[in-house]
Parts: sequence; C-alpha cells; structure tokens
Amino acid sequence: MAHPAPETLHAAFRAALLAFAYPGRPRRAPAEAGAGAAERNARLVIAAAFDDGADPEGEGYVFVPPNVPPAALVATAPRGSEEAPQDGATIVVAAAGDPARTRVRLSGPGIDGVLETLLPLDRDTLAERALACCEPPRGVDLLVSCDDGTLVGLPRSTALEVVG
Amino acid sequence: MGEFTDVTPSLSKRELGDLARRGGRSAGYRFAYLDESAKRDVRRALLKAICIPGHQVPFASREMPVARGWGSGGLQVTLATLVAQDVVKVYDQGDDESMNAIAIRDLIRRTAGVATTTDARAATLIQTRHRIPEDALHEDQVLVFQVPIADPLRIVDARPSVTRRLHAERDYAPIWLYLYEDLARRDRSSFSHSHPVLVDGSYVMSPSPIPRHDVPRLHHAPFLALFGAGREAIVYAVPPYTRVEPVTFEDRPFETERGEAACALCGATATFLVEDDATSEHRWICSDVDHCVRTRGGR
Amino acid sequence: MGYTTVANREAAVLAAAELLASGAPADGDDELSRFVERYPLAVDQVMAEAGIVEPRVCARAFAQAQGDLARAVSLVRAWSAMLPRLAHRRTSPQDWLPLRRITPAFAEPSGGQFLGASRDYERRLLDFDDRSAARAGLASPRDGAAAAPSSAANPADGAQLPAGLPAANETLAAEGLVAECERARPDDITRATPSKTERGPFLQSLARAETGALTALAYGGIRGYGGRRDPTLVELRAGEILVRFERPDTGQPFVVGSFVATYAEVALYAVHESGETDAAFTLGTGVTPGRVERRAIASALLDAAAARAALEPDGARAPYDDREFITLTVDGQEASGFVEHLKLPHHVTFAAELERVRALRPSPFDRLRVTRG
Repeated sequence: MAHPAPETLHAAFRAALLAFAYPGRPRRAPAEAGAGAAERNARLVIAAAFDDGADPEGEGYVFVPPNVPPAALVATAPRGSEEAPQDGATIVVAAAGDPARTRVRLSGPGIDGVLETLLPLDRDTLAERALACCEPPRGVDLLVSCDDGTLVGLPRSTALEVVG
Repeated sequence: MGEFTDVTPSLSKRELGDLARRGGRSAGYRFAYLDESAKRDVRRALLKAICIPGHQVPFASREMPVARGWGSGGLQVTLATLVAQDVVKVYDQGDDESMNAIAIRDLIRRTAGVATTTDARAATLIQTRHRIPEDALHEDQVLVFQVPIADPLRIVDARPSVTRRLHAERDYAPIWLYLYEDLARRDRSSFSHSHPVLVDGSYVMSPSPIPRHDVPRLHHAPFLALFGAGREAIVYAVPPYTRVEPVTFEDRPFETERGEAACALCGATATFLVEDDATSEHRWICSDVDHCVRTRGGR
Repeated sequence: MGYTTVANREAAVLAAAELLASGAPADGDDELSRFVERYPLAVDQVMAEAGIVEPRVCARAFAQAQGDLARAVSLVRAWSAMLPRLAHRRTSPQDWLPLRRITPAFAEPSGGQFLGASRDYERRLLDFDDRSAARAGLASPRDGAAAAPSSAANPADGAQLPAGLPAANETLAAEGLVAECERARPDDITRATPSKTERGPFLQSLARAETGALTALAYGGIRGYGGRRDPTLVELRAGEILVRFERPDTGQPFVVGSFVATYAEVALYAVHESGETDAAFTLGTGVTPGRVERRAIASALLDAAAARAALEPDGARAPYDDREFITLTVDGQEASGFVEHLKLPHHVTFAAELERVRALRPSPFDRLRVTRG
C-alpha cells in the first residue's frame, strides 16, 4: 500500500488535535466511514504524529488494534512523571465494528459546562483510565477511532462520571 | 575524555528508499515545508500540550527560514497543524502588513497552497504575534501564538533547571512574592504584557506578550490556543472552554489598560489602542488594523 | 497496512553516499571553489557553526549573506535542518590522519610534535603587496604538512606525518592523575530534547556554538570569573576523518567521504580547598569541524571548567562553569536571532509598558504629599 499523501496526514493530525481540544465530540477523520475505517484513521494519526511505519521511531503511543479490549493496555501504558507528564502515553484505539459504549458525563477543559454522551469505550477501560489519571498531571490520553470515520478524544484533563 | 558509544542508524528504510529514487535530490518545497520527522516532532508535542493545559512541552525545534526569535516556533506549529482547506491569517502586533507577517504568510502560502485572509472572522487558522483579534471568534478556530519567552517564571529565575522543578511542584510562591512586592511598594502591579495566568487551576503560564486587554479573551474561549517558542524549543496549549485566570490577589482585581480615548479613525472605544504621532496632533488608533478598517467601512 | 520498502538497497546506500558529497566536485574551477580555496577558515567557521561539513554550500551562503557570518549560518542551518539523518559513527582522534599535532604540556610526547600548516608564529603585519594576496590562504589540508619534532619553530620540508599518533594524555591517565568525569552520550540535540546539563548535549552545543561566544566565555573563565584554576593545553590535533559505511548486504566497509577536524584537550590544575578529593587534573575536550583552532580550545576550556565544577561538593556554579548557562548563551542563531528580533514591531508591547510606567508614578506617597501641599 502506498504511503499516505502529506495532506491526508495533516488532516488526520488536525482531527486528532481537535478531538482532544473538544473531548467527547466526534471529529471527522480522513478515511471514509465503512468497514476498516477505524483502523485506517488510527494508523493515519500514528503515521502523522508518532511513527514512520516501516521502522518504529515513535515512542509515547500505544496502539490498540480492532477487537482487542483496551483495558489491559491502558493499565500498563506509561503515565509520565511530575516533571515530564508529557511522557504519559497517547492510546489510539481502533474501535472497529460496534464497540461497547458507556454513557458518561464529561466536564473540564474543552467542554462548555457538562457534556453527556455515549463514549465508544467499555467500563473496564474507563476504570483503568481513572486509575492511570488519578495523580494529575500524570496520566494517559485516549483517542478512539470508529468505523463511522470519526475520532473521539478523552484527554487526561477531562473529568468523567459514568452515568447509570 | 569524552568517548562515544555506537549508535544505530536513524534513517528508516522507507526514507532511504525515497532518497534513492530521487537520486538524493529534492525537487521544490515539500507540502508545508517541514520534513516528516519535523512535523512528527511538533505534532507529538502538541498532542500532549493540549491534554495538559498550560504545561510547557519541549520539542526538537528545527531551524527555519525565519530567524530564531522571529516566529520560528509559531511557524513550525502552523505548518504542522494546517490542512489544505485552511484559510490562514498571519499578523504582527495587530498589523497584517508588517514585513515579517508578510514573509511568514508568503512561506505558508507557497509551500501549502492555502488561501489567506486578513479578516479574522473568515480565518480558520490565525498565526499571531502578541495580539488576539478584536473580532468575536468561534469554535474550531485555531490561534497560534508566537512566543519569545515561554516561562512566566523567567522573571524570578533565569535557570530552566530551577523553574522546571518549580512548575513540577506547582510552587508559584516566587511569582506571588514578586506581585506582592509590587503592590507593597507601588500599590499597583507592574505586570504589563505577558501577564502570568493560572490555567485550569494548575500551571502558571505566560499568555505570550499580549496586552492585558487581551488576557480575558483566553478565559473559557471557544477557540483553541497553541503557543510556539522555536528558540526555546517549547510548545504549550490552552484548550477551548478552559479557565485562564490572571495571577492577582483577590482584593486587587485584574485591570486592563483601558483609558478614556477612542480610536481617531473608527471611533472604537473597546479595542486596544496605540499612540499615533505621525500627524501634528497626538491621537490614539486601533492596533488591530483590519478590524479598524472594517469598522470604518461599516462591515 | 504497509509502506514501501527499499527495492534496491545497494542503490539506496550509494545514493546516500552521494548525498554526503556536495553537488559538485570539491576542487572544481568555479567561483565557489575558488572562494573555498582562498578563505578556507571563513568557510570552516560557517561550517562549524552550521554543524554540517559542506564547503561549497557554506561558501554560497557566505556570498548570499554578503559576508554576514551569522546570516550565512542561518541559511545553511535552515537548508540542512530538512536533510535526513543517515547514521552516527564513532571516531577517536587517535585514528585521524594527522595534519598537525602539538602538545604544549609535554616537551617530548610519544609520537612527537608536528607543527603542520599554521600561521601561529607569523608576525601579524598587514601585507600590502598585491602579489602575496594571490598566494594567501593556508596550504590546503591535503598538502604535505610539515614535521617539526620538539621545536615548534620553523616547519621543515617534506617530512611525512605518521599514520596515527597516540593520545598525549596516556601518561597522565596511566599514573591515575586524571579525575573521573562524566561520560558523554551522543544524543543529537537537533533531533531530540536532552537535558542541557548533561555532558553529551553540552559538548554538541559547544561544537555548533558561535565562535566569538565560545572565546568570550572561555576567556572570562580563565580571567577568574569562574573558580580559580589554571589551564594547560595537553594536545591540539588537526586531522582528516574518513567516514566509513558498511554495505548492508556484504558488510564490507567503504569510505563515503572525509573532512578535517580539530581536537583540543585541556588539563585544569586545581586543588580543592576542602581537601576532600585527591589532587588530580580535570581533562576537558573540544572538537570543531575545520581548522578554526580557538573553537576547539575554547570548547575544551569550557568542558574542563564545567566538569571540574561538577566535582565540587556544594554544587554552586559561576555562570562560566555552568553548562546550563553556557548552552543557553553560545548558540549563535538563537543569540543573533533574538538580539535582532528587537527590530520587529513592538508598539503594542511597548504601549502596554508605557501604560504601566505612567500608572506607577508618582508613588502613592508622593500623591499624599501633593494633596497636603
């Protein structure tokens, strides 16, 4: 397969950046909706910001492939240090097909008031995330890519409450 | 004596293959000028910066066609962040026609083919030196600030090794002390531009040398604010809808530079004004030139 | 999802080798080559501060910048920033093909001293004879260098330098007279963000530093603005470095190019006042591409001073001994860019400051006096 065009990588990065800027709100990413879009967009983001693909050069990210429960990978991902919280991982989840979703209430940076939404992440993953982010500013940042061609961001700065 | 241990090669097979195919030469500019490793370095840092509001994230800043101290950081952020459909505004202390703004805008346009504008309402990405547009801005707009001195604690200690530790511990006593001494001695704060702000109740940040007039615009803003310091090799960010509070004692409310004058050209009383002594009379005019022109034209 | 891989690895490596050489033959007949030949030390200075060995590119930049060295370095650095990094290679000064080697610390070092091509002992008198201007410029590094065992007075003719020379500090090290110092890691500071207080990034900063800044800081340190200490140059060595690559298929080594570099080693004599540490010399090293020797000597002085200060128990640093202060000060591009950025419009920031100055005077105390009066 050919290496993606630079314009596509730019679009993928911009989508990821805005996904983290407005947590919980899906952003359109370059690969069109359909089977395989979740993984395609996830890999575009990784290629744009982390990793050349042929020889891994990037650190600081964890890729969760389709049909792999993210919880275990969230639990072991690096969280950074007090002086270098940016060493905490960006976890890119390719949530293919019809992923488990959790209804949540979100607040914090990027959110005007409170946002109630259905996140494409299961409760176990959210529990591991809460643990990983319990000593701010250390933590991990999740980016979920779905087959509808969107990205949803959940930075460590977002306060999250599971509803119901 | 300094000896070196062996290090593995750092060029990927794909990049080497590309080189071989091009016979070692590059034809013209890449899209958005930067090479892919430079873009990845900035982007990695920005993704972290946006998730840790106000925290200074180091990045491997590249040498640019624009000198260090002249916007090389803002430029790297803009080039790594833009998309082909962007409409880009670049302006400098309120002026789109400053020589440096023109040079930067020109490089962006030539290497990325994006449309450009002077109208902040139409821009999707705005690279700015030391001003926030007077216009009301909206969601999804990206503001890229050029930053000369990234660390607000520079005024209390020149050593990054010390201030890094202060930030890590969120020990901001030195800056409170600085402010206290001002108030005790002069009854007023001496912070002018670059007023230190507390972001999300956590890190103290420099909003870049914007005037105090612009600082409240950062608080709970609909737009995304990215800050690039190329010489110091640091980026930081403030997401939209984030608390940005000027460092000030409760009983000494934050004041802007507001005076009584109105713009001699457009009559505005709520914009940031600068003095104009070009004519025989001393007068005040808007720093935001494009906004002023549009106000005069009734747009 | 996959990416294209190298179809022909041999071609790739050869292309990489071609990249390392300049676009045209080094000894061409055109104006750039003549410039390199006439003003090799100006070219060396641009190359060193730009951090890349490309004589013709640096000559071109110097001309485009109308002789403004800082601007020339800007041009070259911006160009080289977008070049891919191919590999790192390890080299020891003892392996360089020697062009010059002097040891002020030792009268008769192992291997001998060789003055080489140097103008050190010429009288510094302006020569107004136009015919000599045509002969100006150091002998090219590839010309036979002169051998002068022991006495560094006049270069003898024709003597060949040995293929390698041992390090002059070997006797010191053998006797255990050298203080234990931090090893340097070869992080590429243009591609990573290592701590500026570690020795490796510090040495790389010095290798790319602005020549005047290096000299000024080293001088300030010797003058006593650092801790009191006396430096001696153990060794100054100029040599040609052959850059070797291995073919990825056969592992057979081949030379992709070469360049001249200068290496200096300084010994600091200082006995701790606390008397806790054994008396020992601290060694500092400095390297520069090209032949601008004060770059290497100043770097070695700064490295030695910082290394010595790092051994001090209380950790306080005079700026001249402080790696953090030095690395933040010596980059010519950061310094000249920021100093000159003051020419940019500052009317908004100055207006903000004017407002404060007006607001902050008179003081409340004065206002009180005025009302009463």
